Amino acid sequence: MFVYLIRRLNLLITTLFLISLFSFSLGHFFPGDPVINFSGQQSLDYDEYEALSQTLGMNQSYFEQYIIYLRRILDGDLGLSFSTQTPLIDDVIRVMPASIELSFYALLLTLVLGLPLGLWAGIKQHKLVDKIIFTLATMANSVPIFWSGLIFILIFSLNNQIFPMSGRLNLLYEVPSQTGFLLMDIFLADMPNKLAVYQDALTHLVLPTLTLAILPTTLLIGMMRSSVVNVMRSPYIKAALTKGLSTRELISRHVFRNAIVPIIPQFSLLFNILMTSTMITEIIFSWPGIGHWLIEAIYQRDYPAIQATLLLVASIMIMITVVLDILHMLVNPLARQTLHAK
Amino acid sequence: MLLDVRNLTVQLKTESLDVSAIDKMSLSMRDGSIHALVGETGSGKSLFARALTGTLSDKWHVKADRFFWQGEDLLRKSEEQRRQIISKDIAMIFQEPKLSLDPTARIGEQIEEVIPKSDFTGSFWTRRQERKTLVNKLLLKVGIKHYDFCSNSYAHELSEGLCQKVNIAMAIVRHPKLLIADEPTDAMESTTKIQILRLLQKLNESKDMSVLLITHDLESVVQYADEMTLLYNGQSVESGSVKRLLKRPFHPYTETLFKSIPKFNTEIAPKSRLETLKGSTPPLQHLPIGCRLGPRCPRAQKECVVTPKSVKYKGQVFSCHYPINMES
Repeated sequence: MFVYLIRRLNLLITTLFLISLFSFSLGHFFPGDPVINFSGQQSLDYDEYEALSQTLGMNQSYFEQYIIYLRRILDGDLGLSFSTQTPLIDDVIRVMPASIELSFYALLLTLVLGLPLGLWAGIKQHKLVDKIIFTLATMANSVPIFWSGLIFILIFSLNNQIFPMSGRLNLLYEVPSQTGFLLMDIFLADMPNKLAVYQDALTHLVLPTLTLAILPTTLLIGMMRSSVVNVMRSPYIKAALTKGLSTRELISRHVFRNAIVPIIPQFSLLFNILMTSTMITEIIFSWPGIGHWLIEAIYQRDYPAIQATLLLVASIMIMITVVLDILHMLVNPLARQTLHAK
Repeated sequence: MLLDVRNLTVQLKTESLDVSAIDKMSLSMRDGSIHALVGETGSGKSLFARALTGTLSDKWHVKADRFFWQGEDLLRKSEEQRRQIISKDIAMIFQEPKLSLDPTARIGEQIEEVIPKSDFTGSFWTRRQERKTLVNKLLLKVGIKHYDFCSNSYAHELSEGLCQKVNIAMAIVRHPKLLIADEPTDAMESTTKIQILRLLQKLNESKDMSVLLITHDLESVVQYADEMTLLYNGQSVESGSVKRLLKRPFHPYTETLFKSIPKFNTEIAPKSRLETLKGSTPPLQHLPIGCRLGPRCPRAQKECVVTPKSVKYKGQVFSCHYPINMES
């Protein structure tokens, strides 16, 4: 187990190293002066430029520049944003929670919908239920989410006014930002009409969460279904059938666990899709998260911001993958077996 | 009579294929006996077991003139009722013991879940402890001395023989009247094989549990089984007590089968070829009509294109138009 952890850690560090290398090279590849690209400061006089160039090590070798770059990142200095001239790290900390909040609810919805539906479809393979679920999932999977998001807005906001169209909260309510997670902030805030605020925040959440959850849910249904089908075919399920277990016991004790364990590593794929979908969803619903912020940055050619987001998002994805891999190893005795055999 | 099956036909129906994998097979079992079901690979032995326990998929269609389990007609029952009867009285062990255990659950948990609730005597609070002692007792009963180690292991950490013992433990937990052992010692070392078969024999004697031993290993059949039924390509060839079949088979196939094993064929000259039938078993798509042994049978004649009726003679049942050893 220890060797395995070391190996995973090695993978993590190597990948992070490569990402940082790529991110560093962007500073030179982006159009413009590397000093400005790295620091993000745009209005510099000659002396300031010289001093900055000195601290960034621009007259030294690339290797030393890279070391300086790494040290800056580890200190939390991602440079300034071109458009606002504020430290990027503050911006990221400001917009990140909104994205995490949205993704978290979408992921929750994905698990709540995807796992049971996939299980059901897999057990009833080739029956009507399976066909319906699988057809719907395939259809939903094929619809681009910017379209489905707009259709949701059209149906639920413009035609029927059930849910608000955009944003996280009605402008009437002023919730002081403490953690950045809105529901948490409302809980912490000292307000008289908390219930109304909660209700407002939740209605704002519905459409973006739905839109964001579509793709991962369909993906999860597909994964779970094929995994369950595999498990149902296995000899131990047939053996369990002759042992007098009821169908419910069989599913809850043997099928579910054995089906979910092998697909845990594939969950990182879900996160991947979730991450890219978040960006689109945030644009459609004007959700002030990191995706929205990044696309703004791309429009404004805000190179330091693009570089920083790339680094952060990629690092987070890698970490999630590694954590899921380790988790899989912990819950799957069969994977541990291959580990020992090696 | 514990089990009485007459003219059982199992058909495989798909769009391109419609064959009877088991054709009018009959089998009857006495209470408390070890009955061997013998046949070559693909002769429908395992299929019979799965038809019996109702674990065949929808592609297979089962028909029979009689399907009696302790005097009850199983074919008349609904699937749910059937499953209840079967799960109460019939248990089964399979040929790949490791694969028939859940790979992600510990052995102890898996045994615990098949213990019927009526076996517990204590209150809710002592149940955990009680479960554990029951599991340990069971494991001890099937001859596993390191029961603590075993119940804390996963299936892949144990040997095939141990896994089969665990499977047997799980099978006998509900005190079944019949244990179907589907090639329980396939691909096992001979010492483990003997252990498993001895265990089955012991359980058969001490618990009055009948065993249907499905195998192609004639030597162990002769050693452990009381009666046997011989299958060839889904048709029953001959059945009766093992000793009499060995001494005086009526069906040419039975004779050849025993002769192919030097241990039972004492007349064989040293360094001579073993006796076999010409050709090989036909695949399912190209089954001959009538007696399926026909094309390979040394005694086959014109009438053999008609399926022979089963004949009862001197306690043995055989299906052949031209039986041997009939004179005296």
